[in-house]
Amino acid sequence: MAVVELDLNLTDEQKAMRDLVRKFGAEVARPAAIKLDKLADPQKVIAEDSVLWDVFRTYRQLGLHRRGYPEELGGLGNMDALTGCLIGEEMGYWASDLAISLGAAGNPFRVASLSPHPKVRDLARQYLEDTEAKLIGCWAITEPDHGSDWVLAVAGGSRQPECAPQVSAVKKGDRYILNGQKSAWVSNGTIATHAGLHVCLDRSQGMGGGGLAVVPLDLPGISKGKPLNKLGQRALNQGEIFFDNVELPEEYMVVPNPQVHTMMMPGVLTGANTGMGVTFAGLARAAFDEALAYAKERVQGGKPIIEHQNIQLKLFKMFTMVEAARSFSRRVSAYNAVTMPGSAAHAVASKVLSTETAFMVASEAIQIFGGYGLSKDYHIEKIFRDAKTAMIEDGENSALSLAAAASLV
Amino acid sequence: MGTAELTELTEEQQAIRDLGRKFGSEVMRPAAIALDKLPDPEQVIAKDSILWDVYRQYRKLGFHRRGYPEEIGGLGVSDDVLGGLLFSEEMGYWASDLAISFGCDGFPFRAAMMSPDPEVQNLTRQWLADEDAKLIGCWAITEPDHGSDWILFDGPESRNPKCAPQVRAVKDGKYYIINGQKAAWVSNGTIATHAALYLSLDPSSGMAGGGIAVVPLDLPGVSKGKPLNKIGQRALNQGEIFFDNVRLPEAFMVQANKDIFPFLIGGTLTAANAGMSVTFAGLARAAFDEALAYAKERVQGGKPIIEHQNIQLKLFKMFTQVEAARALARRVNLFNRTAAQPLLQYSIAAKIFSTETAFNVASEAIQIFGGNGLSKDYHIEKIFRDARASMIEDGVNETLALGGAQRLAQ
Repeated sequence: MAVVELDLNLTDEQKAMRDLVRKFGAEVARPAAIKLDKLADPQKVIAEDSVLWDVFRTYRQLGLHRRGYPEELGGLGNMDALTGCLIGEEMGYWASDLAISLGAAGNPFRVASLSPHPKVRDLARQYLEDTEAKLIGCWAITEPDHGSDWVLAVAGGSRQPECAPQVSAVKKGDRYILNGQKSAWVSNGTIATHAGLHVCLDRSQGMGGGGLAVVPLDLPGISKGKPLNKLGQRALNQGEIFFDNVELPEEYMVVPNPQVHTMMMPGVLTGANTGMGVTFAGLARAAFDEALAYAKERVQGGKPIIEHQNIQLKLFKMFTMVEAARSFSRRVSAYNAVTMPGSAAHAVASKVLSTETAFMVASEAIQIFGGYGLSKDYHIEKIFRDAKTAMIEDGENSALSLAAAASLV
Repeated sequence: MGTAELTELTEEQQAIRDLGRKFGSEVMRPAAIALDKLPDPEQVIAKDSILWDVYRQYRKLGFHRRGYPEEIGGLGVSDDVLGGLLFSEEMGYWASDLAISFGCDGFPFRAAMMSPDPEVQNLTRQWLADEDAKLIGCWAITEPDHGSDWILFDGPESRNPKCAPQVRAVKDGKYYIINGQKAAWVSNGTIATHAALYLSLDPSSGMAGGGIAVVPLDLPGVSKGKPLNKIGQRALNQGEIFFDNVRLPEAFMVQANKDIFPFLIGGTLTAANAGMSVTFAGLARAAFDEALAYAKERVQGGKPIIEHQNIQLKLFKMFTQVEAARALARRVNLFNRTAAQPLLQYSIAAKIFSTETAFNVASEAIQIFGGNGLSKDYHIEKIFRDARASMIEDGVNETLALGGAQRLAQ
């Protein structure tokens, strides 16, 4: 008996949604993620004949990208937090790397949906209607010289001019001129058609002088780096985006006021980290399930290893940690769904707990698998590499903790 | 300033350490990095692989000749254990995967010395003189159904027939007929010309009914599996060896006394785990050095990150663990290589401590590197994957601990 659903009163709709995503995860996402992870050259992950595009199209056809957008734009409206968790956890369970890719794809369109300009807001509608995955977004925020600076900025740090974002947007008449470079960690950077781009509007305020734009990535002056070759989450393409005197019409600067940008960043961090807490609780559960199944089958010392005491103690500790991470992620999601701007401390705590749990449980699982745990014929070593990546993705865990600790004061 | 050498070294010891450092940095590490990147493990052992060049250069250094009598071509059995440890630590530092390959290479040739037969003994001479790396050894012990069973060779289940090794040797006149299969974890399995083969002579006695053979792997009936595709230590080739009615002349069964077999496994494990502890203390040091250098260079939050308190605390904890691992590894090796009665539980403790330290330090180092730590353009993620493999290699740490605990109870 593996992990039990402790939320007792799931409605039929919630169960149907969970089962839909479970089926998508098991039949589409995981086989694709395994295949993409094995490709030695990350360029192949995004090649024209890659299985990645099938995954994107199927996800869009299922309408899973329409959660949380207003119905008048073509969205599904606000989903209750628990349904969101059921979906997010299943996606993380089956393929956390693709979960991040599919999720990040919506970033600029969510930003666009906030714009007062119909032309910009219409991008969101186009994205919601797009079942062919012709529109793919990315979150363009960190830079080669500014990684944790973005995280620390949320807590009021990095206000020195030398900590200002490197990508600058300078107003010139009715447009902004963009110059600079985003780092190789931009998830979906290599395939995105649009970016949610954080820029520097006022260098004198350091990280406090930022703004947020929706940028069509086919504008003249935009170019991309080659895909990043990484330890884990290899099915998630990442790469640099370069801006060379790009002219962006002013209505695309959805947040042109640095004070507003500074005020919204905690909410951005909160939303992203809350989602990560759910996704990687799912991955932690996957690691546990692998270890449990193997321990029942593998015979050593004359009996199935699950009959050995040390294995039992390990499994039970893993079970406890997984269930704690899942429970915490659901509670934080429920709170942050109905509170504005939500609790950054809880979001970070959940992200850190879930990613560290996924990593520790996967690492213990490898020990339980013994030699087979190191072999690429088994799934657990991929889960392990994907989990380690999550401890840095969306904010390195110690930097996040420092930023969140400020809100405890 | 990173880690220091706390022992006062003689000139010879400094020289051998510096030799290891030069060979490691100039030959081993670049090769290991290139081999690790090959997506198909078959390419690691292909004819045009750089692996062969590395092997030849290693053999020319003559380090493999330490600990063998001069009269057969060795460098003599030295009193200077520390000199050898310094070289081994450097190999682990620069490329632990290749270090293990070199370490396993000697197994059958050391085992051959147990035989009174001149033809068998001659194998050792040939290997010691072999600068072209035409003779390569492996340690063929674990099997698909018997991994941790080998570590608990004298535990409560050791006489359980279900725990008998699957590879069996049956006497037939002046030969043994060998049947069975070794696991995909045989280090050097895919390239070895000879194996130190641990097998069952009397299955009814379980793990206690075994023997040791030196097997030329070109005998009819021997075949090999394809190289294992692994998370880490990818420059270390590993693969199955199959035995199908292999006729081995009896002189090559160098150890056929079932009563002695458990002691021999214990002795082999004592030496092997002791060796692992030095190699992976070296790897732990490498992980620390990477993190220290990066923390001095990387600017974030307006200053080099080494000026931030949390990074300082992490680095100091890593430093402490690395130095503790190096100290324990050396102390255990100095004892177990010279004592009349070596103690297995100490080798086990040092192996566990070094491999877990290497892993924890590499994992923390990745956090210090941030995004760059995940990138294959940087070395630290390879160290991390190599360290991860070491916690299972040469005995999964938990089972080793159980074996060690049995000895505490005695």
